Amino acid sequence: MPIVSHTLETNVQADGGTSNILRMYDQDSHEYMQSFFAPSNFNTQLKIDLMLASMNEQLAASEFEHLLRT
Amino acid sequence: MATYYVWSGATGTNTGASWVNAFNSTAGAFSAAIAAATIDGDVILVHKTHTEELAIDTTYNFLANVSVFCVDKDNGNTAATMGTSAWIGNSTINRAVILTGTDKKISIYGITFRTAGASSDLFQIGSGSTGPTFLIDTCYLWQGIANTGANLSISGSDGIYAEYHNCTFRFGSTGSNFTFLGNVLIIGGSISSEGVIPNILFETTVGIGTPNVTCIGMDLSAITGTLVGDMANNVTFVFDRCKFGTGVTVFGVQTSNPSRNSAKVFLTDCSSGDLQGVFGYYDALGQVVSDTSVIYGGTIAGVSWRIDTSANVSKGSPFTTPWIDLYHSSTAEITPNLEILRNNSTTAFNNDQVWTEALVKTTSGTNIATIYTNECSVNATPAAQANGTGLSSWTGVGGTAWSGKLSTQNITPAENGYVSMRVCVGLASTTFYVDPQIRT
Repeated sequence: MPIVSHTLETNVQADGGTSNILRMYDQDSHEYMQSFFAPSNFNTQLKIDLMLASMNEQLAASEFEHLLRT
Repeated sequence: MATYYVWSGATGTNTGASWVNAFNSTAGAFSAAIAAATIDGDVILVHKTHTEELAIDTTYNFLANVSVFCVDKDNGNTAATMGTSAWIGNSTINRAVILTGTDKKISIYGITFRTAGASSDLFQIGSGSTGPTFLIDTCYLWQGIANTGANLSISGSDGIYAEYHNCTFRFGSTGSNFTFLGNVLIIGGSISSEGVIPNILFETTVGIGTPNVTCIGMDLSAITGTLVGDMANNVTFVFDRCKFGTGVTVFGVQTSNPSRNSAKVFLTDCSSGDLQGVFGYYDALGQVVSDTSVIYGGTIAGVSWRIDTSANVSKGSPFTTPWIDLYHSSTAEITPNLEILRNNSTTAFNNDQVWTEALVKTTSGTNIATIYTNECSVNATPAAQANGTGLSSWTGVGGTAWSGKLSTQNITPAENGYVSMRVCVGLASTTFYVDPQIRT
């Protein structure tokens, strides 16, 4: 099940950095949560793109393992 | 006890009895020294320029409690390191390097162990169910194989304890990881920015038990992907006063074991910059991280706990925070409580959604703690949690919000000691804040 949508919640911290919560959703609306801290000048979109790609890989691998077991 | 010498530049009799007659094989000198060191307390000295290119996969099986030191033979055998100029292993093709020794206590200083090539092969510290304990100090562990299956096993069996001081760890593939089966303590040292940086540093291992992995004072700044990936088992990670990579994800999404018995991460005082005192706790059900954007006024540290739960949470399988302690030295009645804030909603949490548990010593003459909770009891109708001191007590509140309080019944401690509280969340995919300070 690939990720089809996501939300990002960002809190700016006292040092100017951010605390970020990324919630990703697959086709069945299952949610997968991850977080990261980032400095103020951080390329957040690039990080999110990488997280989404990584999550898709993980889900694909998980599905494949599940198929092998069943 | 004896001392054995290893130096590929020696031209003597290859007995290992002196520098002149040091074990000198460029493909097996270190093995020869380990075979010779059969008495507990034996020492192996390796000259800092000694290099051997293994012709075959090699298991170094220590036969006694042995210490290995890299030294400078030309400078009074003072402690030295091989760095990246010399090594034991191979620099071009894959040759397994495995260190082990049944029930042996092994210490190694300053040595560089290296693997290379393109085919996956083992680089493993420890093997066997009755494995050794290792103290590996100021070594360079260079897993240079450019293959996603080539990992660096820092504790190769569940019977192993491996402790690393000021070591450099280097990888050859973005798909390589630290793997582990036994307990690991890493103090100081770093992930080398040379070579290739793994996307995920700690990855699950087939057959893994429930080891503890602790990193203190380690420079992890090279890792900007994920520190702890999807874990099948209940491994506990601790990162204490480490330097993190910019934008690193501490804990990956847990799809292999998304339960209360998942892996967990404790994070204390780690950041990628100069932000001090960061706290974090992560498991498959949620996370707590210190937050300075929404805080309770008057809080000593100016920090709140932000709680985020995952979709894996339910009332029967709640996310629970670490315990918060307050030393209490009175036997007067108290009502332990925590202030909370629900941002972006004015609706109070019900006591089947968010509740607290408290541990208090209420039995005189013992140390035993008794648990108290304000959780909605079985078959009871959920009720709203109590209101807190109000939104004016909080700063950083955006838009609508609800100020609440989690408190147990009145409790009378019977002995001096700690009152402990934690927050329990049975509501999936929610976010709120806690002032991590027990009030009574």
